[in-house]
Amino acid sequence: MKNKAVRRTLSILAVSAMMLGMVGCSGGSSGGDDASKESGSGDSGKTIGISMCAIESQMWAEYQESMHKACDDAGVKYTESIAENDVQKQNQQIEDFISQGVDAIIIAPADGDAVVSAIQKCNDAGIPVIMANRAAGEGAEVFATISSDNKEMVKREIQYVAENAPEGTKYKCLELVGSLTDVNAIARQEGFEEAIAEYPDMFELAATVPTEWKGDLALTGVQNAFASDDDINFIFNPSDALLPSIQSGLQQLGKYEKVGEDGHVTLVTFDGAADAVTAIREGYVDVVSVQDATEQGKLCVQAALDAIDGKEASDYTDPGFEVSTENCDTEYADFEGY
Amino acid sequence: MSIKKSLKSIDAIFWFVGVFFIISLIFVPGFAQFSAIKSLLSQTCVLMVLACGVHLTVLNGGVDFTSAALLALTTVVGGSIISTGGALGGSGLAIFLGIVVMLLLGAGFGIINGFSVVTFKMPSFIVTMATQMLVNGLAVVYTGGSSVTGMPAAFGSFGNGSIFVIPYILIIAVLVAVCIHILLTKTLLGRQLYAVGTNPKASLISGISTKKTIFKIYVISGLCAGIAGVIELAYMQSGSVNYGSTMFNDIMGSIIVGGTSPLGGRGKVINTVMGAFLITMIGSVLNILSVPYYMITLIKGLIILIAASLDLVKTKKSMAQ
Amino acid sequence: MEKAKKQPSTVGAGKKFVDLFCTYGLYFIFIVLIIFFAVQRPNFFSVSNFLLILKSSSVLGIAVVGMFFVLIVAGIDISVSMNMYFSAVIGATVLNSMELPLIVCFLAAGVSGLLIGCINGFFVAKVKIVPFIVTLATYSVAKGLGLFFTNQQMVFLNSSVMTLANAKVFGISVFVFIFLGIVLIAHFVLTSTQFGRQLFACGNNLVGANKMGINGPRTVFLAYAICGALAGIAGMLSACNLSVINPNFAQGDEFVVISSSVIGGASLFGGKGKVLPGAIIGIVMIQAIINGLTMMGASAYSYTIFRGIIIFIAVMVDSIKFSGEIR
Repeated sequence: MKNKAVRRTLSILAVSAMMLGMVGCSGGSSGGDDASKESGSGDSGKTIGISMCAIESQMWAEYQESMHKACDDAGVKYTESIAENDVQKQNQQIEDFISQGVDAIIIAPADGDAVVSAIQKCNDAGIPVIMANRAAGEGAEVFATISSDNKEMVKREIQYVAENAPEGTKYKCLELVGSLTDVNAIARQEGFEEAIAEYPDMFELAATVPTEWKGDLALTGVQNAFASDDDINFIFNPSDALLPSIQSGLQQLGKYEKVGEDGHVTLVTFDGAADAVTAIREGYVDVVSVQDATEQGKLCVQAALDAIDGKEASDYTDPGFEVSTENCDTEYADFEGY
Repeated sequence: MSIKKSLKSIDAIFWFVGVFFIISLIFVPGFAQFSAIKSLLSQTCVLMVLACGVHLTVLNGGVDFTSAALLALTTVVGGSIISTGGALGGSGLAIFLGIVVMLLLGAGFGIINGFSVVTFKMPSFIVTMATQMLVNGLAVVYTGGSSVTGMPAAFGSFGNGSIFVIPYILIIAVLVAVCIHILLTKTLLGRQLYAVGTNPKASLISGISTKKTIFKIYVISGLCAGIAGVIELAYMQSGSVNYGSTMFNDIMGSIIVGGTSPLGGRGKVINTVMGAFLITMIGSVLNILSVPYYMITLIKGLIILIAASLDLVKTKKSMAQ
Repeated sequence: MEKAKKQPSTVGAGKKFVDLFCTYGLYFIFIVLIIFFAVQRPNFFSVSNFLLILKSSSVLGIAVVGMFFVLIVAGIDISVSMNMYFSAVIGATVLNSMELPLIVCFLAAGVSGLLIGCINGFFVAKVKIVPFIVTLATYSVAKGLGLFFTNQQMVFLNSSVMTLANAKVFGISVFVFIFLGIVLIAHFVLTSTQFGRQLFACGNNLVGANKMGINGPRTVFLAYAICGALAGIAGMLSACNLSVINPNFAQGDEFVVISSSVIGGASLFGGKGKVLPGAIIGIVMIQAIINGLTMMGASAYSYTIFRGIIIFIAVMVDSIKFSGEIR
């Protein structure tokens, strides 16, 4: 029938137009979005694929920027994809990088174990892989892993608290835990629990709240934990991304006091975001472990370039440093955070 | 006349897929290679199997939310059985047992769904939503949130291997689609389904056993989810509670874009298969073109809307005749 | 067809049990759970805990009220969670970039939600696509737009929102009053206005309603629009509570909202639903259970299972009652 044919032709035209539009659109979008390629000068003809799981914190935003800048400085092109914590999508995105024929791939995995399958495909294609901030599981070859010494950093934080606590202080602790598929979250949890085990008279673990790195779970977790046990006076927070929600919760409970004041809840956090550092200077947060995201980002790109050039690889473990109410105006007076 | 007629009888979706594919081959860098095509075919498999199962429920005017979530549960449970670190040490027995358990899990939840829809007359929409929450929760409780790894090498090479450019898992997926097609066209169940979908009351009066038919559909859909889980486990070589969390959109997209009406009663499986290809292709191509993930989601949403509108136009035209 | 008759007393008793279960079963289970929690953790029964539950219910509760409107016209709206996200982003942008007072930001979020609701309403009422498909599509679109505007990063709200989050009247959070206010207004609209009656009529029998002279499409359209607007406000409120909008904001909340509505008495089949006290009961029940589980130190993952079971029972009950009404 005529109607059917007309409708079909129109549909095909519509789809073709949409497609060509998309092809054209992508050329335009690379100007605007941060998922674009085509960086600076000095075309060395190499492309690095960057596969990020998500930009879920200020630390990651800094990491991403640092990698972009390092690529620009080296005159290397990059193409980036962000998986929004979707494991399957990230695997697909990495496979698409392989199809695109990139020279090296930097991966910040949503799930270090599930991404192994994709890394194997990179191995088969001869594309070197660098792990950014989170290690991969076993079973595939990784050129280099750039990460932080999460456990040690947390332990040093607890040491700081223990050493500076007035005689006879007892801490009832609320432990927040990040996403369980995140190697770093597990490492921090283990670090915390091992650290407080060394001071059994001082620390008591009152509650553990899994947050999946989600702010609202952190907030309700804090509220419910205090409702269950009002004596909690110590919170271990594994990422500054959750800090605003915790601050919000404490304020609503009327427990947001400064160091040294009555009712202060000792806050130990991780990452090194700007608002954490500000809160330390104001005295609300006690100590933060800082990952040097800028340096790590640079090193990732450096490792990628080394890999492309066939050079030796080396893992790098960022020892990190702590900024606390004690040293924020002395040793680290210039540190602003991310 | 015959060529023209057979050309007209090819559904629109085939044209879409064909046109899209050819344009992509020409314009999209890196697409016209074996590895890219192989990737595309592999990535479609899980979606294809899931969509075929859900297709049955949509034919009945219903839906199945649980399918995607079953990916999570079956891969972690099956994975723990098959894993080299598991009790059976990654042996052939482990693989066999794992697969059986995964299929049983899928069918089991299918039974729960089917029973609720038929006996309690609960809307499939919310029943499968509730079971989906249950399934997700169980998956997380089972593993504590972490992933299951350590699949034996044989299993992994099955999942990622291929004959020339055709992946093994694609063969399985196509087999499933063919089985469903046979089910729909050659069996009593299929005829009942098309009859029931368009007019449940009439088919009830004419004596067709509506209840049994509907029940079986949900069980089959669950079974398909189990099979999809096996494919996913073999392909990703790990089980994770996060699998399937975003797939539901793509499943419905495959079905709607393929041309099956959400009102039920009409739609061939082959269309849904093509729909699955199209959706995966769109995703891949946009990925390669560096379109950000959320944009891809947005575009897919728009495509579903457009496809559903076009479908409605078609329905109205056929009803007006 | 004659079946062998059972003893009349058994049949009668069985039916009676089913009836009783349908009407009171859910509440009975709820009360059992509450008592269980209270025994395990005496703190559960305290006034402060009760206020906490009420406050955390208020945010999603507003979205639940909106969902009632849609359910009454036998529709569904899956896009509420991403509507909340997108509208919160709009509201936060107005707050941060233009530094306008909070009330303007809420207005902006409400308007943004209203727009999404209108798009839903248009496709459902005018184009007549199945609501499930339409709202599934708008879910993706709203999510994509939200991520686009935020560049997939977190959005911080400036500290003025803290004042709202902490504000209390007679020791009860302002959130609760906002929620109750909206419930009261909705209750009035649904029970005492012509529009309300039209909504129920359309839900019960759309064709019949049209014949009676009610503008069916327009009524349905407005239902979705209202749902969208309320979702937008709920999103902004949630953002103020957290003082940050993460990329995974409100993810999965659509199921909580829908199931709370069903538990609260709105029927998926349309034509039924009392916002007062239904919306309040629905959301409070779910939040109370989550609160109780946390206090018990239960793993957060058991929440999903519990929620699934509760919804299942609620809908089962709803369906049995509904099929009872046909015959």
